[in-house]
Amino acid sequence: MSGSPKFTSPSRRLRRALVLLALLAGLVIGGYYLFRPAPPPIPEIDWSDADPEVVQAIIAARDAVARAPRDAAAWGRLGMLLRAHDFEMPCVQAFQAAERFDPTNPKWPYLQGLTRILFDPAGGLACLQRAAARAPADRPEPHQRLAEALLEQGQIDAAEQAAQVVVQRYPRDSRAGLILARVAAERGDWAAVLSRTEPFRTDPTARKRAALLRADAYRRLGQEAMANAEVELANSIAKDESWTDVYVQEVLALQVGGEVDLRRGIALLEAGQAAEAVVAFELAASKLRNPLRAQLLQARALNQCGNPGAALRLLTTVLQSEPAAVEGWFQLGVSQFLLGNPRAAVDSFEQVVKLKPDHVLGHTNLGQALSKLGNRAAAEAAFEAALRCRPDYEPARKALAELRAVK
Amino acid sequence: MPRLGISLLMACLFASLPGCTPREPATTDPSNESTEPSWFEETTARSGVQFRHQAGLTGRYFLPQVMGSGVAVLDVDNDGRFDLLFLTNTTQGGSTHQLYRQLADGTFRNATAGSGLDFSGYGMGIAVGDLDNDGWVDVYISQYEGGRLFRNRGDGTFVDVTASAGVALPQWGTSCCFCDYNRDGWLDLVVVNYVDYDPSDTCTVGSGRADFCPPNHFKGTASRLFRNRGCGRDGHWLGFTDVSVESGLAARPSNGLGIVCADFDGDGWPDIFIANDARPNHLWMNNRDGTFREQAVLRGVAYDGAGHALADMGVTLADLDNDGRLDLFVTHLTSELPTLWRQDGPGQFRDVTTAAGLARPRWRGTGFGTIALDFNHDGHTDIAVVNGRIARARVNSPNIRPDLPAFWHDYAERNQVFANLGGGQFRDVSLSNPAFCGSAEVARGLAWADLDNDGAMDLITTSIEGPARLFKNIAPKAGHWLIVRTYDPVLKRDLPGTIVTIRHGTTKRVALANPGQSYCSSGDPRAHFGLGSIHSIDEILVNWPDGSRETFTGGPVDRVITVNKGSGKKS
Repeated sequence: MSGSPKFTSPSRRLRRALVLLALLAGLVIGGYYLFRPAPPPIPEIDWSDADPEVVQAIIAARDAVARAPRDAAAWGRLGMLLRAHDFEMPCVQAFQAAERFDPTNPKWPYLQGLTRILFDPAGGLACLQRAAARAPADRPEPHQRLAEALLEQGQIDAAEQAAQVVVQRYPRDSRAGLILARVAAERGDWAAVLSRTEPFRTDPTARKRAALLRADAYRRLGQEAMANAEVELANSIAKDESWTDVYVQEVLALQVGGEVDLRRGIALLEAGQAAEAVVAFELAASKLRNPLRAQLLQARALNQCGNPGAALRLLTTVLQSEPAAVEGWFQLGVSQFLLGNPRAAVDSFEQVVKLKPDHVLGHTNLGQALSKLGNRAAAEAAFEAALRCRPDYEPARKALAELRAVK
Repeated sequence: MPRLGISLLMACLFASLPGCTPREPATTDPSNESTEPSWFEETTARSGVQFRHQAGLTGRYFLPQVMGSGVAVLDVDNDGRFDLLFLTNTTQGGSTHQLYRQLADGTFRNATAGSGLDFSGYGMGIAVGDLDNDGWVDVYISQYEGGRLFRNRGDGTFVDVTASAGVALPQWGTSCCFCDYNRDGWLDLVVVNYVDYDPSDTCTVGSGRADFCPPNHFKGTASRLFRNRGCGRDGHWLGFTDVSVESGLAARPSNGLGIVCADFDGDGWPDIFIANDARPNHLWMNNRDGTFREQAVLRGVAYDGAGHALADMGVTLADLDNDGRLDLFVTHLTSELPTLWRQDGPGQFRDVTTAAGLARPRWRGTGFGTIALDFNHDGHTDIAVVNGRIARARVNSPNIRPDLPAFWHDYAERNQVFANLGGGQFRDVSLSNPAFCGSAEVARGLAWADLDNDGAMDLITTSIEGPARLFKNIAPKAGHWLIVRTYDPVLKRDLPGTIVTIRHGTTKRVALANPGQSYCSSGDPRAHFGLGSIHSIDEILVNWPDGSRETFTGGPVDRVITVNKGSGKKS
């Protein structure tokens, strides 16, 4: 045994190699954990004045990041929540962290780019370029926004390339199509402007802007009548509808707090759903640090949905603490008038025009209430005051004419 | 092979080290980059001007507080030297508007007391012009809570004639100017009105934090046009008539901030451009019968090239590419870009901001006052812009003036200067102008004048809760200059809106004599030319605002000349 050469059996060699490899792997993994960069610090957020519900949502997202500081989804959610509530600087930091831990996802550089381009155009553009490079085939938004940013910064050829990426996949994409039309306009190729805008003449997301571009093109081609027709069309359209952006929608869906309820209430009121608006404004008032605006809108909605008594009760309370609230006095006057008390309404409308001497409706309603009381001279003066504020205000002009005709 | 595998493993594991992550770009503020000579030197300290703008108590987010106030250059006492009028923006604390008279040595003396302009108010804009043709400049001051009109007594002091002149307005006026829209020889008054503001209304951003309300939170209001009735048979000035409805201007309420009146289409009749905040601009074309038609969309100046209605504020009109036509430059928000509309056909404009090299400034700003002038006399008109935000900053600007109250730090920004390289191509030279652009403040008013009669246009700025500042033009001059005063000896006054063309051989240069530009401000009423190598001029062609044209003999340059209406050759 003593003179025999030392042989190691293959199985032992394998075992040794495995042990060595395991040691090495342990070393590498240990080294990685030892030397890997620390996760970024959670951004500082100044939420003085912020709504409690907003603060609560952001704290929950921050806690999630604290529990899993290398989790891209947690960072991304924090970033989106911050962005949804206008904490723009800290949201950029959160999106940077999300991108670091999820470097193939276009969402994080895209959302970062959308925010950053507002105050750092070059930095924002770089983010959008990364997002576009990573965007899957079914997500045109990073390419669209990149093309717009490039065009804004004067990189016309690059803008065209970015828009072409979208158009090749979605030939009817109005956002990219308009960019290509603007690129043609920058180059003075007016025939191309017309052909590139042609598909979007009835597209609700692009028809106004298409008409403006086409008017310019026709004029430069010497076709004045066509240009004027496009101008008329553009003037007849209030605004193009917004483009869909799934990334932005995801951010907006995270909005919480009284502001969300306030906006919903305003939309309901504008849609003529005053009763539903009352509920939304009440909810908003219960959440907002300063509930005044929500309360005044609630009073307006109550007046509109035929409940001036409730409006009057609400306003009586509100005006005790906010005696300078012009809209409060105005809605109070409306409530009083609707409840058959023009004398009280006169007092309220007088308060309105005292606080805001150019309140056209205040003067007009004061005139109406004074007319109701039979005080024609004072009513006439009130209508005249309304017309001094807004000389083309038809209701005041008409009321004044009627008053003078009776006289 | 195992080594290679381990190396790859290590490379992948450490891929997330900082050096491997996407790098964020460095700040675009290379402060030591430029060694070019500065164009401006601040002379406030030795000028004698000690006006400090006041905006009242903060914390209520009272919108007028963040929108004012302007400054005017005017010769109140006809001594041939420009005086200065500064507006304050509060009714608290004893602060008043202030008038400074220029003395023979070029310094200024506070002449507010007893001037008739020594009152407080939410001052916004100033229009300067001789409304009664008595040879003395009068003043209209627009304010939140109503503007006021002052007649010059003929001794450099003023009397309030607001009520008797028929211009009492309860609305919130911003920029304003005098312009003879009906060519009857009497200056009419245009007052741009902003929004139907309710001071008890409040706004918050998404977090619930309060800030100044955006303009579209309120309804817009119509701008007002007052026709000057001239003098009666007894020589008594009759005041104004409100013709806002009859003229058509009342039909389009909006969020007006900036104004310039000039003949936009070359038909000899003054037109009115109004810059609207966050709404399409208005270009009121003169129908020659006392009425106007609104044609901003038709003429390409309602929206920017992308079809967006931007936050349009300050306005200046000048020939920026030496093609003989006046181009329009309008300032916007920090998140937007200013827009340069080039006039490329009579009365037809096109957004050339990007092509002109204005799309990549050193830094961005919310521009208010602006003026296009050839600061270095190289024959190409440059642009100056004063900045200051209207909503809290995402990132505070560097170099905030140390004396700016903390509340306003979030709104402070640095000014900008763009040098015209020729052919309408611009380069941002803000870095090489530290006096004018180096410190951040919430600037609003910008007026211009050759205060020291050296032929170069100097600048005067105002900022919220900041000192008024005077900047002497010290740009190394690359050529000659000419200043042309356009005067009517019969009317005894300057003629704003006059377009002056000078010719040297086949070379022509065009400038507008018009103090009513910028934002809420009024500047030097004369036409200024930087001439480059042009050392003499053959003739001066004058398009008077009444539509008549005259030609005057040229001559040497580097001087101020007065062209008297009626003494030239009719053309």
